[in-house]
Amino acid sequence: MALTDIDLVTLAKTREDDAPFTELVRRHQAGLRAFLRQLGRHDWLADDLAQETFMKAHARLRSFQGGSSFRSWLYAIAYREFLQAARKAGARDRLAGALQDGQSPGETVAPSNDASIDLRRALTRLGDDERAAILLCDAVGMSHAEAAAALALPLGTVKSHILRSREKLREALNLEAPSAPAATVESKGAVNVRTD
Amino acid sequence: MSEPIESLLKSDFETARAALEADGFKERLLSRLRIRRNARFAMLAGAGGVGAVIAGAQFASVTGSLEVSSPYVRELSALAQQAGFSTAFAPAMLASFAIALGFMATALVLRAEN
Repeated sequence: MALTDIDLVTLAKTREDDAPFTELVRRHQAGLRAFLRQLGRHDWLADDLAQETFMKAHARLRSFQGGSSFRSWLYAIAYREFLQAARKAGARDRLAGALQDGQSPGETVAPSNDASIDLRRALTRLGDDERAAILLCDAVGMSHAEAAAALALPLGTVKSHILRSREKLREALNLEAPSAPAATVESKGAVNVRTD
Repeated sequence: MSEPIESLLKSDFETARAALEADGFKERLLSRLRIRRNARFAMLAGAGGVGAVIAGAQFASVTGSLEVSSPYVRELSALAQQAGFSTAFAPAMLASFAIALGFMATALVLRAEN
């Protein structure tokens, strides 16, 4: 039977080798990096942040008490790292944005298709907390409570962020409201970002 | 029912996640962790070594000062001798004990770091 994350954390705290932590990295690295890539605009920065997140998680593993899931604890570290990096990059990007005259500064995302590009553009129109909340719940698959723990926000705030974000994304991508038939999802290659 | 936007986000996320599953990130991360830990280990071992050299150089003077300035050591030695214990090296033993404590503390820190 496969060990749970909590089992692995317990093992990592007691054992001298890195095998349990390596398994935790194997389980979570791709998801965490995909989340950070969707959250920010730079893939290289997302990977740097993910690496820093795992380094910090490794250093602080003994302080993990198990009050939340390991995943939400890990994503909480990642989100704090992201906010710090975003603050630092903010001033630099504003300057670069002014020089680039209207272009999105430093945008280096290389998504796989048009729908993905449209979606990521639409995501950048959300606030950081809104974007993180909808990504954690709708993309990563966390429960609202897990997302609230990861973002250090009240549960009600996370729920309202998600509702508001869905509405904004629907509007930006010209998607139908939830009652619409699922067929609209199938033609996602045709979705377009409003340019107004 | 699943929202269209939820499906879009999920499928975009899963595409990105699948592409990142085996691109060597884990190996790079673990290698960086090892380098950092080895550097810390080297620093601690170096500091411990320097401390040991200094402590060793001071051993004779610590032993001497314990002999001269601590009446309790002498009283204890006298009492121990009355009880039949040989205490000819009592100050040296105390100094050794203090240094051994230092070594033990360094070893504990190194073990925790490792």
